Amino acid sequence: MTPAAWTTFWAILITAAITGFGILALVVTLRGLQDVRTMLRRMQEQDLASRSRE
Amino acid sequence: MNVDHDPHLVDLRAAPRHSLAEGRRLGLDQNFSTVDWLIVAAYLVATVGVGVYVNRYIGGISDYLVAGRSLRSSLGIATMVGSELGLVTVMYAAQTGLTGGFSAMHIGLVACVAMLVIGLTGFIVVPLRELGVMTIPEFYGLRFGPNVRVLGALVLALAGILNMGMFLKAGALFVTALTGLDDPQAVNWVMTALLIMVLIYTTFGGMVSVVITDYLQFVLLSLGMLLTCGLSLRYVGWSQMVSTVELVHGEPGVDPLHGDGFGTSYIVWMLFSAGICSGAVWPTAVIRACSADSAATVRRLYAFSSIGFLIRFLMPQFLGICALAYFWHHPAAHDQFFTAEGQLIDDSTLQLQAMPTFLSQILPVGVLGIVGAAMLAAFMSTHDSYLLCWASVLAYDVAAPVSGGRLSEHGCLTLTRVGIVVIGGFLLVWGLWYPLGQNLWDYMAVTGAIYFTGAFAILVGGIYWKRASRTGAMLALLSGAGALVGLKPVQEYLGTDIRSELVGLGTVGLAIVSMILGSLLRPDDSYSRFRDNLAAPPEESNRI
Repeated sequence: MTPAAWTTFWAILITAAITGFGILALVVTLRGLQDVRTMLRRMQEQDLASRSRE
Repeated sequence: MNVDHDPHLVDLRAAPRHSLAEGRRLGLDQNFSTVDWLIVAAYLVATVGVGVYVNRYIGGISDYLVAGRSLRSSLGIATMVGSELGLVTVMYAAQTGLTGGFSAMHIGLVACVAMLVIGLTGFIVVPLRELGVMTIPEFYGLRFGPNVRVLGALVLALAGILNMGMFLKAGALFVTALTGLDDPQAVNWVMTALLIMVLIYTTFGGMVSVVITDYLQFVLLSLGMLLTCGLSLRYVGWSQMVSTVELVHGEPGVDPLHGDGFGTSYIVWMLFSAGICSGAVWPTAVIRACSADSAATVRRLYAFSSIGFLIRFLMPQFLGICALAYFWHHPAAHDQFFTAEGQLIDDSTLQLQAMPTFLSQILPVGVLGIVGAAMLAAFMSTHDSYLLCWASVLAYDVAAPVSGGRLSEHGCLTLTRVGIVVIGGFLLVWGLWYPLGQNLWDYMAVTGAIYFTGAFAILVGGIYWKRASRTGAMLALLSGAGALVGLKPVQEYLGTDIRSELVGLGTVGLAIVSMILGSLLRPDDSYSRFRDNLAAPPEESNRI
């Protein structure tokens, strides 16, 4: 590949990566909050279940 | 080289369309204001508060180490990217962008491809999740017996702690360059305070704190990094970046395969170290797979985190190239970074400071505070995961097996907490006196290789090869020590100068050959014992 072709390749990669990451960050931020709640609720339930078994 | 006489470049001083605050940025001023400090302080207080608050959810060792195995996809991606995109990553990746130009971006690209393949195939990580192990040495114990588990854990912890040794130094360089704090004592106190904050919430809340604070850090880090890249591009301009890379680095600056640049052997080494091993063998990444709520989540986690593994290199490298272009055209700072021949000055500390110094010059008040908080978030999110990982390995995979089952779950938990504090103390000392003397990324890859070269052979052999034996596993573990030859102080002591990627690839080959020869020459019944152990009830096979 010529240097010009490499430069074009890096430009496309940078644009795609930053755009892709922007979308991923948005989705993960919104859905991650829900996951935090679910994780804490599930851990509390597990804790209660193990206490009741004891 | 005098930039004023270079016909190929447009001087930034004559390009006001790129300027965010014309007339303010011609000298290297320190722009970190009280507002920025307040933003950073508010963020730090909130993080530690949340981290300590979740201590109430810790019920046992499984909650503490793997968050009760209740991690779902989105949170898993946030915590994976939050941990792996640390401040030290931002610093060394920016340095490789500065010193290698666009070619350095091949590191993120091969890491992304490797993560995607791991996610699609479940290579190593899905079998580990299905076994229900909490740490990698625990797998060693199940497959090869307690001796391999203890030795493997010691090698892992040693390599991991050494690997972490430069985090504080990189963090201190960042804080100095971004904020303008030039009193070494003040910087040391700031770094010590940050480390203590991490120690407090990690010690109390374990993996639950790590996951939740990583989530907060991911949100801030994403915002900070995207904002910084956008503003940097607007300030410097794409054409300036390209022309400066061509001028300073020539063709190797855009072509990673070029013989005078990175070259094929380095790319193969990156595919192995930054890709396969960072994703499937490095314990802080694997612990996410072990914390996931199902094997399907593990696959999704890795497939989507491939984007995170791409940008953890690419975005800081982008900023490094922006810094290169900025300082090339800067009338006051040009000579501080470049020789009279137009080459970058070969000083690792100076190169590491280039990116944060650049940010301190171009970012406006408020944004500088958000970026500062984001980077300190990155610093903390890596420290918490790493501290928890190495301390838990020492307690769970060294102390517990050596005690012969006398160490209770509560004792193991206490020992992990003590380990976190002791490792934190060690990092303060090591970070201050070790002479780096080489590219930070190469130091990270070499110290990591002490562990992951042997671990790769053992994990692949143990999972996918029935004839893999204890002797082969032991030899593979020990051969990882060969990677020490890649460290500059060791090379100076031995009077050699071998490129780090050749040392790394050589050590990988040695570990694989050791595993194969050791297993063939001294076969054993470890595989059949392993199968029997898996057939036992989960409480039996997973006990400490």
